[in-house]
Amino acid sequence: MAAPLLVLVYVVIGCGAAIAVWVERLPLGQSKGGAAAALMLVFWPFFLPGLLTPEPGGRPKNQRRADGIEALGKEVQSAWTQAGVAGEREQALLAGFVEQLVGEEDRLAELEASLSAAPERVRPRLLALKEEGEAELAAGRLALEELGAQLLLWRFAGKKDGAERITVDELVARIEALASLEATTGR
Amino acid sequence: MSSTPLPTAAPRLLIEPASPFAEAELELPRLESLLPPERPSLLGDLYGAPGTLAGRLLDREARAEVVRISILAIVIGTALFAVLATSHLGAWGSARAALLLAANTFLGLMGALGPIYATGLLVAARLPLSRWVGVLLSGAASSALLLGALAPIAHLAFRIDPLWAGPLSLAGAFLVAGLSGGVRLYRVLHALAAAVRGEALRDGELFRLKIQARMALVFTALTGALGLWAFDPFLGG
Amino acid sequence: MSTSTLTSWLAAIDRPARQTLALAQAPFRSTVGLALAGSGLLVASSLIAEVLVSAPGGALQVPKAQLLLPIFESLALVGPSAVIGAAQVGLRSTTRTWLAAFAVGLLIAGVVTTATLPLMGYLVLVSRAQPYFTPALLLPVLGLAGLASTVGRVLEAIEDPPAGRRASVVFQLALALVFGLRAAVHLGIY
Repeated sequence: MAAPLLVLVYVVIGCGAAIAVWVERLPLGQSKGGAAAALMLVFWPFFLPGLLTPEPGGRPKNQRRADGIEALGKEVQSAWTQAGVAGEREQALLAGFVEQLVGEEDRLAELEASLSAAPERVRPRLLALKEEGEAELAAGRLALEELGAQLLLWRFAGKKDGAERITVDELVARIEALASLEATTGR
Repeated sequence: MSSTPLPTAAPRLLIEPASPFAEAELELPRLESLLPPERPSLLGDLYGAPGTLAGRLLDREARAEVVRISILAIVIGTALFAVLATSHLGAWGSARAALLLAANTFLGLMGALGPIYATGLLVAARLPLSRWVGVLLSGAASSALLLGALAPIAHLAFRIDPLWAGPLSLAGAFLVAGLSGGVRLYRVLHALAAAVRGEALRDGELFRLKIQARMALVFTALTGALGLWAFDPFLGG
Repeated sequence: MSTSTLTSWLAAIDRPARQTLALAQAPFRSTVGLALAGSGLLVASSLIAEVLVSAPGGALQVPKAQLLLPIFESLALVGPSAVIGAAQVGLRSTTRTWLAAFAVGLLIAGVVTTATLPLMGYLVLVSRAQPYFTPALLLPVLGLAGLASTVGRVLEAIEDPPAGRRASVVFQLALALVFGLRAAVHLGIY
C-alpha cells in the first residue's frame, strides 16, 4: 500500500515545519514555543500556507479615496439606524446618494489623470469641469456630515419629534435635491 | 443562499409586551440601553456576523489565531457529538468514535483544501490558500459547534430506538451541520470579497463566488463522507 | 524558488489577460520559462498521482500517463491553426500573445493539478472499494480544463466582445475535441 508512504511523508514534513517553528520561535496565533511546534507538527497543512506565501499587498490608491465618502455614508447610515427613525425610502436615498458621490469621485480621478496629457486648448474646459465636480462633491460631503451630526444630536437628546425632526427632514430634503441635481448633471 | 447584500440591523425601537397592568415604562431606562455591550470574542465570531471574522482573516496573525481556535472548536464539537451519540457502545467505543470523528474531520478538510483551491483557479476566483484555510476551518468549526449542540438529540434518539431513529438522527445532524457550514462559508467568502474589494461585487463575480462556495461544500462533503465510510467511527471496534 | 517568482505566478493566476500582454512584450524566454514551469508541474503532479493511486502491492508501477500526452498533443494540433485563424478573421491577438496565453494557461493547469494532488493522497488513505477507473485519470482532465478556461478568459478579455467570445468557444471546443479523440486512442477505446 502507498498509505504508509503517505503517512511517512506527512510526518516528515510535519517534523521539519515543527523544528522550524521551534528554532525560529514563530508564534502560531497565541501559541508559542513548544505548543506552537506541536500544533505545527500535527496540523501543518493548515498553518504552513500562511507562513510560506507572501501576503497580498494593500489596495491601489484611487480606491482609498472613494473609501472616505463610503465610510462617511456608513457612519451616517449607522447613526440613522441607532436613532431608530430611518424608513426604507431614506435608507435607499442615502445609499444611492453615497454611490453617486463615489462615482463622481472616480470621474474626478479620471479627469485629473487625463488633464496632464490633454492638449492646451481643451485644458481650460477640463479645469472648469474639474472645479465643478469638486464643488458638487464638497456640497454632498457637507450635507452628509451635517446629517450625521444632527442624527447624533438627536439620539442623545432622546426626543423623537419637535425641532430636531424638522432639521433632519430638511437635511433629507436637501440630500434628495442634491441627488436629483447630480443625476441630471451627472455625465 | 440569496444574492441580497449582507443584512444590516433593522432600525427599530425595542418595545416589551409588558403586562397591561404594569405601570407605564416612562421612567424606566430604554430597553436598548440595557442590551449587553458588543464584546469582540473569537469564539463568538465563529458563528456570529461574518464581517468581523472576514476582518480577522485578512490579517496574518489574527488568521493564525482563527485557525488555532477553529481547530480547538472542531475537536470539542466533534468529540462531544461522537461521545454522546455512541454512549450505547460503552466507554471504549465512545473514545474511539470521538478520536476517529475528529481525525476524520481534519483529514477530510486537508484532502478537500487543494481541490477547493483548484476550483477557484478554474472559475477565475482565486483566494490565497492561507485565507482558504481560515475560511474553511472557521466554517467547519461553526458546523462542529452546531454538531456538538445537536449531540443531545442524537443521544436521545439512540436511547429510544438504536435501529432507526438513532442512525437517522445521526445522518440528519451531519446534514444540518454541513448545510449550515456551507451557508456560513458563502457568507464569509462574500464578506471577505467585500472587505478586500471595498465595493459591491458585480453579478458575474457573485455567481463565481457562489459556485466556489458550493464546490467547497461538495468537496468537503465528499472527503468527509469517504472518511466516515473508511473509518466507521460509529460502529464500534 | 524566490518570492518574486511566486508573486509573478500568483499575478498571472489572478489576472491572466494582463500578465499575457505583459509576457508578450517581455523577452521570449520568460514565456518559455513560464510554459516549462507549468508543464513541469502538470506532468509531475499527474505522474505522482498515478504512482500513488496505482500502487496496490507496494511495488511502484511505471505510470502510463495515458491522458497526459493528449493535453500537449491537442495544444500542438489546435494551437497553430488558432494563431493563423485568429489573424485571418482579424482578431488583435498576435502570435506572441497566443504563446503567452498558452504559457499562462499551462501554468494554471499545472497549479490546478498540483493542488488536486493531496486529494489523491486522501483517496489512497480512505479508499475501501475498487473504482471503475483510476481517479488519477482525473488530473490531466482538470489540467486541460485549466488550460482551456484560461486561454478562453484571456481571449474574452483582450478581444472585442462578440468576436472574443466566439473565438474562445471555438478554441475550447476544438481543444476538448482533439483531447477526447487522442485520449480515446491512448486509452485503447478507439
